[in-house]
Amino acid sequence: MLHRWLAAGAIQQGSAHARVGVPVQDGISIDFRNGVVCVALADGAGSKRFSHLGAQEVTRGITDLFTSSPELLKNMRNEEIARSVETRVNSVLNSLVDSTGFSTREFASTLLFMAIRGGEYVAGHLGDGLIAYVTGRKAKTLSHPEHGEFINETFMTTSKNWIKHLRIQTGKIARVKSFILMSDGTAECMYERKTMKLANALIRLTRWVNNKTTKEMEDILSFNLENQIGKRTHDDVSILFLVSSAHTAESLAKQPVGFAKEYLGVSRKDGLHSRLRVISCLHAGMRVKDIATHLEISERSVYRHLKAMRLLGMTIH
Amino acid sequence: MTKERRKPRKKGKKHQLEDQDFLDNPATRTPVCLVLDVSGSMEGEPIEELRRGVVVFLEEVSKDVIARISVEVAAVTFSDQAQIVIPFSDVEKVKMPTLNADGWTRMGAGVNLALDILEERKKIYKREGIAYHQPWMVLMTDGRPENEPEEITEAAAKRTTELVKNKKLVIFPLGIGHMADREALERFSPLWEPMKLQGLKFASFFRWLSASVIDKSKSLPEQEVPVNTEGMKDWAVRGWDTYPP
Repeated sequence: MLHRWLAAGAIQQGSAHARVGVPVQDGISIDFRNGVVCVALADGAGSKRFSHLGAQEVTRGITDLFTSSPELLKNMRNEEIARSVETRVNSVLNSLVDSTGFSTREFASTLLFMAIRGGEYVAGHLGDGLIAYVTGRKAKTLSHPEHGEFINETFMTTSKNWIKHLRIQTGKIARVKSFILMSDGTAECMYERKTMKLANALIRLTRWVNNKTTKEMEDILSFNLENQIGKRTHDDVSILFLVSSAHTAESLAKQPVGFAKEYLGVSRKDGLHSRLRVISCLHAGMRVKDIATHLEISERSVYRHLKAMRLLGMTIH
Repeated sequence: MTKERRKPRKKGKKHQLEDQDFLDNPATRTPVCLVLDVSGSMEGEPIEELRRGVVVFLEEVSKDVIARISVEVAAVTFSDQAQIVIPFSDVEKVKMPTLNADGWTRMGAGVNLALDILEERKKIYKREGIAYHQPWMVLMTDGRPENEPEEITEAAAKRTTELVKNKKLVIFPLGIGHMADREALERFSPLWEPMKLQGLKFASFFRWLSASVIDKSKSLPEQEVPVNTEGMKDWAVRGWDTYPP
């Protein structure tokens, strides 16, 4: 059995910002590298002129951090992870200050992220917004929003001692179908503040994005942000999905070609066939040497296939 | 215990979420408490104009689609005693009572009572999972505290000062007429300089207040909405530090 995580996200500008010509202040980033998949989402402070830049650059910085440093997902203490995040965020903000001449405060944003490698995860959450997950037929909260007393108070990357409010969670993933990160604009109709209940929408969306290409997933999310979620608030709305996807070579061969190619990280149809054949041999319990002989390719080619799949974060059982 | 019946799903566009897939949260609230001097010196035209001004405020806020469901108003009067004349309500539901001017000026008692009802209101919001902005208090007087033990005035001033300094309250102190004591109002407001009303231009003041409150109620989370100091020209007197920083 093959397993990997797929990821997609979408952002929609809120009516309040559209009305006054303010750019969308939510930012998202997705990266797959070195066997790690990392997604990050940030919501820029409404009153800060360049918080959209802060949100965009901080999310990129975080996904780059975790995909270039896989050791952060291996036996590191939460405090060490938090320090690495703090260093990266401060570095990103300082670069923005240097390049624009504006003060750090202008780039303030919240921050949510999730990194997965093998069966282990690291999740981080600063401020409002929400991290949820779907398991079986239930949606549950992994990380709740954190506000001050008032709706316009939350913790941001430029708040004093913000690192004390960065909540880091690590652990092993078991029977999770999807992880979902969302800004507070989206959470407004997905999370009931009084009961902390989650909306059925998360379960339905998880079902719909299953076995879809990234583009198809983005289309489904964008459509619903624009036509449903975005109409329930005047704030910007954004959402990120990490979806667990398991296949055999046989089941993949039956999927649309576009999906199978993206799943296996190949760009051409002949590349797809080669990789599927390698996978079938692995499932049959063959060793690399035997696979090479059986498929009449070099051992080096077999290793190249294995490495490519490993770099995508794929596991083969 | 009966099981909740789900409405059957309509056949709509594929992969489109429906209303029943979402949850509703109550609208974010902006609580506003008016603290009004109804002492004997307000008798006659001042008290009538004050009442008309409050009606203007309620009407203007009610006209705005968002503010109408977000802004909650209460009013406390003070003279010989402090009294709640409008308990916290949606603006559309408020019936403005008659105001009678009589008695001394127990300002501290009025402010303390207003703070008490604001705290009670916040407890309700927290219990019900209702998000809210910093409360606003508008303190209006044509004089200074009179016939009130100093410790009561001091206690009220200390409460508002702490709340303002910790950004838990926004207070607008307003003087009416030439006898309004600026220093008395300053005790309650460490950050916002007291303003003085031009004559009896209550309606102009409350129109300005309603516009400010409407802006606040529409603001997004994490958004700071500065008060429109430019609009104060319509009702504030020059010379009593007219435009605060």
